[in-house]
Amino acid sequence: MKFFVGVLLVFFLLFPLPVFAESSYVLPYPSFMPGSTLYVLHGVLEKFEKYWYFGNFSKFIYNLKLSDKYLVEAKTLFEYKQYLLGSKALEKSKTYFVAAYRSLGEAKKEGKNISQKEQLLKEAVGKHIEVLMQVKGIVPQYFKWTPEKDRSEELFLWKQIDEGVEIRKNCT
Amino acid sequence: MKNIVIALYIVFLLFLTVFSYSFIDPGLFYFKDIYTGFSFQNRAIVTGLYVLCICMFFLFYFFFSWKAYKNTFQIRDVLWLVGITIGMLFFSYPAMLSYDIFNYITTAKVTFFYMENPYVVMPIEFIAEPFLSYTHAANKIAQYGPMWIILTGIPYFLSFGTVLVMLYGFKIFVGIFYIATIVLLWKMTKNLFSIVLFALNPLIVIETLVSGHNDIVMMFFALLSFYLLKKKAIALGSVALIISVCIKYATIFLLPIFVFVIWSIFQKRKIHWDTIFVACTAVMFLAFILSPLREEIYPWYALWFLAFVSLIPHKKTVLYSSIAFSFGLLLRYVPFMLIGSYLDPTPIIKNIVSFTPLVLLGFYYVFKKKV
Repeated sequence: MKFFVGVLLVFFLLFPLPVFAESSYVLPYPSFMPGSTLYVLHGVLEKFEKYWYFGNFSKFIYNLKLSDKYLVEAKTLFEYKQYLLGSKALEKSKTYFVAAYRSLGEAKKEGKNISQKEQLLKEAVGKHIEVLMQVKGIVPQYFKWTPEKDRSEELFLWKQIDEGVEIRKNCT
Repeated sequence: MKNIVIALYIVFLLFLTVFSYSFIDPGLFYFKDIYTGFSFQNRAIVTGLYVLCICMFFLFYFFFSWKAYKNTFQIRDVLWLVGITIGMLFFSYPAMLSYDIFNYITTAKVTFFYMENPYVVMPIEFIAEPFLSYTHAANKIAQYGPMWIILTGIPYFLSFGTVLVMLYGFKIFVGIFYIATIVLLWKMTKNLFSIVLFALNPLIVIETLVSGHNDIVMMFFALLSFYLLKKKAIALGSVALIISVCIKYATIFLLPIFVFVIWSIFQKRKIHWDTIFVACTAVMFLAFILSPLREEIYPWYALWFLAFVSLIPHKKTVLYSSIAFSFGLLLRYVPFMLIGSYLDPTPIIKNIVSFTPLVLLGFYYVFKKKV
C-alpha cells in the first residue's frame, strides 16, 4: 500500500498538470459576427444605445459591456484565423475598456463611491488578460493580410495584444 | 346623525394617522426618536387594530355612499369629507403598508441627484448611501415608466433633496392627482354618488393618501384620455393615454378600446359610453388579474379598475363585487402583519382572504336567486 501511494506521489510530483490562474469574471457568449447583416444593425444600435447609458456609472457599464463583447468577438475571429477582423475587434475592445476606466474616473470626481466598480474593473482586467494571453498563443506574431483587389495590410498581432495587456494593467 | 358620523369619521382618521406611526421602519433613522417597534413586537394587537380599522372604514364608506345614493348629501358635504380625509391622512406615515414611496424617492435621487439612468443603475450600487437603510427594493432597477421618473422630479426638486420633505412631498404630489381625478370624475359623471364611491373607497384612500402609490397618477391620465375622447379631442386624448402608459404600463390594456372609440368617432357611429366603461373595467381587471405573471397581486393595483367602476355605478353587480374585493384586498396585509414573514403560509392566506369576500358575495347572489 505504502509503495503504491509513494509511486502515485512521485508520479504527480514529476508530471504536474499546468494550472493557470482563472478569473471568476464572466464574459458574454459571442454575439453576431462580421459578415452577418445583423452585425451591422447591432453596431448601429450600439451607437444609439450610448445615449441610453447616461451618467458615469451607466457609461461604465456600457463601455465595459462592449469591451467584453469585442474581446470575445476578437477571440472567436482569431480562432477562425480571421486576423484582420479579429485585430479590429481587439482594437474596439481596448477603446471601450479605456472609456470604461475613464467613466469610473469621472464618477469618482463626482464624489460617487466607486469601490465596487473598481473591484469589478479589476476582475475584468484579470479575465481580459487571461483571454488575451490565450489569443496570443493561437495567432502569429506578424501577419500580412492581402485582399484580392486592395492594398495589403500588416498586422503586428503580438504587439497589439501586448499593448492591450499593458493598457488593461494600467487601468487598475 | 350625519354630523355625528362625520365627527366619528374625523376621530377615526386621527386614530388611523397615529396608528400608522406604529409601523415605522427601523431603518428610517429620520424617525428614530419616535420609533417604538410596536408593530413588530405586538403583532396580534396591531393586526386586530388594523382589521378593526378596515371594518370601521368600510362602515363609514357604506354610510357615506348610502347618503350620496339617497341624495341626502350636498356637494359641500362631499368636499368637506374629501378635504378632511386628505388633510388628516397627509400626516400619516406613508410606509405603513408598503415601502413603495421609498422606491420613488430613491429612484428620483438616482436620476436627479446622481444623474444616472435608473433603468441601468440600481440604488444598491451607491455604496454607503443613507437611502439603502430604508429602501426595500434597492437591488432592482426602476420598475416604473419614464413619465413617472420625469414627474418625480417635481417633488424631488421642490424638497431641495431633504428626505423627510420629499417623503411628504410625494404624498402631496399624489394627493393632487387624487383631487384631479375626483374633479375629472365629476366632470364626466356629474354624479355625487360616483364621486363618493371613488373618493371615499377605503382601498383608494389608504393606497393613495396613506401609502402614496402612483397608480392614481396613471389612472388620472387614463380617465383624462377618455374624457378628451368624449370631447372629440383625439390628439390630446392620445397624448393623455401615452402619458398614462408611460407611468406604469398597465393602461396599455386600454389601447384596443381607445382605438375602437377613435374608429367610432371617425365612422360617426354612436358611442355607448356605458359599454365602453364596462369594457375598460373588464380589461383593467384583466390586467390586475394578470399581475402575478410579473410579481403578485398588490392591493393598490385595484385602482386600475376601481377608477372605471365609479363611472358605471348603476351596474350593481360590478359595484358590489368591486367593493367586496376592495375589502378583501385590504385584508391581504393581515397575514404578513400577523406572521411577520413572506414565506409559507403567508402567500396562501393572502389569496384566501383576498377572494373570500368576493366568493361570499357570489354565494349571496346564488342564494338570493334560489330564494
